[in-house]
Amino acid sequence: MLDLSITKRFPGFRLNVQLKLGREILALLGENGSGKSTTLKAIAGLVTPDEGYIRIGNTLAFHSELGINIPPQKRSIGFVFQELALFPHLNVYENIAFGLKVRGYSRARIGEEVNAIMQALGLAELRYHMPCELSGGQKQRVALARALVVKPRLLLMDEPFSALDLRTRQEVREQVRDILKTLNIPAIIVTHDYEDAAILADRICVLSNGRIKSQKPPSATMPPLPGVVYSLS
Amino acid sequence: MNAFALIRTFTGVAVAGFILLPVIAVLISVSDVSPGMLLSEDVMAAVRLSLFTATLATLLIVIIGTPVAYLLARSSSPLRRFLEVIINLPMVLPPAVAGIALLAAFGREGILGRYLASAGIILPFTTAAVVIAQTFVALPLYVRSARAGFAGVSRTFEGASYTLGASEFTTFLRVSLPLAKGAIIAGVIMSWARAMGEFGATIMFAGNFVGRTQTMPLAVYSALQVDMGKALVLAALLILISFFILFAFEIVPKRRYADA
Repeated sequence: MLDLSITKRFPGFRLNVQLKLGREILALLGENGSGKSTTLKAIAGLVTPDEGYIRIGNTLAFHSELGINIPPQKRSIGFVFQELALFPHLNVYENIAFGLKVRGYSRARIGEEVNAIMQALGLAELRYHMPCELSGGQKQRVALARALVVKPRLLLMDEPFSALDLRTRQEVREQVRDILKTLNIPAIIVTHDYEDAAILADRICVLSNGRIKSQKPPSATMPPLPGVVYSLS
Repeated sequence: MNAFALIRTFTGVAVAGFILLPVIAVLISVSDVSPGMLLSEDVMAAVRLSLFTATLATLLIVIIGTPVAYLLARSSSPLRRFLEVIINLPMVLPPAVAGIALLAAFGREGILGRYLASAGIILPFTTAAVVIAQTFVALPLYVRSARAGFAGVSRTFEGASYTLGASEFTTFLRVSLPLAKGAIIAGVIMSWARAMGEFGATIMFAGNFVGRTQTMPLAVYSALQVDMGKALVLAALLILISFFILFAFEIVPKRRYADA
């Protein structure tokens, strides 16, 4: 599904990641500054690596030597940002419809698809609400709906639960897991929280100092201490 | 009341008085002028010309200034600061100098103007010259405001739009522009006000011809030498317009979207 090997240099930091992804949910676990977000943004095309390649399905999205760099618009990747980035001037419906609208779909088709996903994610009641009127968990679901409604090949989530309080976090996390399983869409979830990774992922990659340190199924990565946030120190 | 509080209060009152006194003086003096003056031919001509040229200049400024403002807000090129200095130049240039400079460039004998003249296009001392002079001096006000507006739009919103399939231009129209709306409207109002008040560059580059290049500020100046009443009427009208602008400025939605 996804195969990449990229290098990106920053002052005093070098990101060098090799990663393969099948039809699975992968958690990219690491501390702040380990390069998780940059890796995710490189896959989406929002950051350009210095060297390497990124293959998504059968398409070569990036190849430094061949000079290939498909823009984010054409990569068909859903991205849920850490800040969620719901458009503050658009209501819930308009936010979710955004990606369909720019594709030039008919009003009827947009309405059908947006309504279906709002129903599925329990957002139907919030149709005319503005993002600033939503709770953290609701925003999270709108961001997910907006990313999924365009049927991306791959979903990327950057610290999707970091803005949520503990209780909402557990709730939303399970919802997200169920949705991803139902849709059977491959996903990479970046997090610094071991629990997030253990609950959501089929496989965990630990990223440290710009490199992948280990790749294991959740149970083998680290014994999760109940209630303790995993740290890489 | 301590000494500092006293100084603050006193300067507050003094500053307000200093600004208000001349304004009120105009409004009091104008009450002696016959109301018929308001409808006199050259007063109306100046009002019409000012409204027309300032609005046209503002339109031009928005059309050419908006992409530049976005470029300044988003570019990381080292040339950006250079461009920024150039665009701000008309703001610090004395308006009369701006007028001379426009003549040197677009005048009949000007660097570019001589070629325009041979092509039959004569700019100086025309209504077009008024619009050019106003555009020249008012452009930086708009660009600065719009630039700040665009800079305040988080790039994450644009990134989100890209991943949803929107092109850069669609993203600009549907995300960046609406989110910078308040600053853009503020810029429009400020540059329109500046264009309305333009005097120095206009009189140098466009001259002072009734109905053609004599805008309200120029008409005030001309009337002052022959008919104080007419000057007062025009001044009072400009004051009213200024109040209206300030009022419009206040009711511009100051809404700031929290990151959602």
